[in-house]
Amino acid sequence: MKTQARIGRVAVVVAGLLVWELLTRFDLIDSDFVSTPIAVGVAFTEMLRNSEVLSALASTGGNILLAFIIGTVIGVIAGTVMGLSKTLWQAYSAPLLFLMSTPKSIFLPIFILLCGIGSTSAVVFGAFEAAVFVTINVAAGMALVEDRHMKVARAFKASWAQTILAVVLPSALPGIFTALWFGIRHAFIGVLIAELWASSDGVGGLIRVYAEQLHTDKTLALMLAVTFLAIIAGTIWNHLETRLTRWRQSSAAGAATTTATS
Amino acid sequence: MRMSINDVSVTFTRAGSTVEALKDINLSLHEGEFVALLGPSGCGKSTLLTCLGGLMTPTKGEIVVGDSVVENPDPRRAAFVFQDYSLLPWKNILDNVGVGLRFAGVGKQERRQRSQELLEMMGLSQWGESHPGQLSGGMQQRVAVARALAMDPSILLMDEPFGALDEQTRRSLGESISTVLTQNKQTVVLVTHSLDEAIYWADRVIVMSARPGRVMAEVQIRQPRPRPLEFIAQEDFAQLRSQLFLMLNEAMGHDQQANPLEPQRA
Ligand SMILES: Nc1ncnc2c1ncn2[C@@H]1O[C@H](COP(=O)(O)OP(=O)(O)OP(=O)(O)O)[C@@H](O)[C@H]1O
Ligand SMILES: [Mg+2]
Repeated sequence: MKTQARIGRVAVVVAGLLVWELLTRFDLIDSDFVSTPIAVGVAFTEMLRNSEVLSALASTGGNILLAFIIGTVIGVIAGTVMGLSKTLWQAYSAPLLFLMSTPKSIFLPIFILLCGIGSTSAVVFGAFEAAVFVTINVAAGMALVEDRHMKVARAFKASWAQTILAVVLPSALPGIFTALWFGIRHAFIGVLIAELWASSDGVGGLIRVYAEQLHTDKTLALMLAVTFLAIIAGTIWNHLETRLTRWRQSSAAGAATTTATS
Repeated sequence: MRMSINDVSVTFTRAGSTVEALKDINLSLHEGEFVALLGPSGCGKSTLLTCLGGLMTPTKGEIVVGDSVVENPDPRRAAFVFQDYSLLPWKNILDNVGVGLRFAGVGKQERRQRSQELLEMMGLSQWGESHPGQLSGGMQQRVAVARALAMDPSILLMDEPFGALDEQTRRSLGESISTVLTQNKQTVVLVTHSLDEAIYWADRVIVMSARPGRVMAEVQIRQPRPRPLEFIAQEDFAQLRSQLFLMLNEAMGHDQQANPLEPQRA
């Protein structure tokens, strides 16, 4: 079944590329605007040797990482505090959820005003995007902490820090993982959006420049590269999450099926 | 350690309505005594145990251990075996047993060694690296007992720790645990639904009445501990058993039809 699904998926992509190539070959659509798959492929391989592109990728990657770290640290702290305090949760969950569902790019001009045009805006905006999502998800994860486990911590005289480390965080781990994933994704989105609008360097800036110069093949190749990076990050993340929350599967599978896997 | 329960009452208030769970409990346990609590479901046995360990402050009255009033939990003074065992599912069995030691700042080496010893005693030495989800209910309960014993507490508070065990395991385990307890001079309060368990283990069996829980009667078991398995086959045992059976029946409200050995879940 799995391989069938995989073949099906590949078939759709190949068919799409074929239609695209044929449409441009027979001039049914203008290749100046949409380029062709082969041109994009060529541009993609050329791009990997282009120092301008490579340095843009490196600078954007650095910005994303920085935005992710800042946004996640703020989000984890804010989310933990909110998750532990019912009052704070009641006071701030509604505005945060609202903020989560609005496109945050409408706030971009404020960031540009404050931080100027360039990398700083991108990082700060990415961190802001990430922090909003991480906060909500960490706080939601805290709701998974069970009273009976807190009772164990109290009965066995855990300090405040020990309770957080031994009971609260492990219970909230699935929520925290979701939160971190949102952190990566939204740092990514935030940085790229900010670069697209307000920066001449980085991948976002480069995409804008290429698009303005009607280098459709280069633009698409660059977007392809970014997509690959996102997919790779997602795959790595999935593996990591499965490894670190393995006890969940082992309890779900029950005693009968698991034999000394650890 | 000596423990006295003075005029303890507990009233729960939830959404305007109040539930009187315990009323005027007075009991005194001497050092090393093994007391079993019997009573109908919902009569407040778990509530009393929670108060004894300092997890809950009684609405009225106080609990005195040694010469201080119990106000907060302290596993070295009184360690719990909870009714729902409550192991931490993300920790392996060895770390679950050692969790209290870890909170107390005991080093890893010592903690692991002590935990392994206790697992061996509980017949679970091969399971140290497994996670709670891989163990049966009865095995998890034994881990919870080991976790409490690891603290070497003066008082052990056990809430139906062997409810999910088969008779065979329960007996053999009972013997080894009661040997340990007798050696260590631990004071034990055991909540149970099993008359056999109460008589076989305890120095004294307390029978509580249906809600609000009060001490209705108590029976001394004079046989010295640890007791041989043959004790169960003796005439004394049978007599105590029928005596307690009738008391428990009365505790449930004079209903001749009701079978007190069948725990009713609220
Ligand atoms: N946190 C609480 N809030 C409100 N009522 C409670 C609470 N805890 C217990 N009660 C009530 O107090 C009474 C005594 O409960 P408790 O758990 O002590 O009974 P128990 O004797 O241990 O029963 P069982 O044998 O079924 O375990 C019950 O009627 C229960 O509904
Ligand atoms: Mg109970």
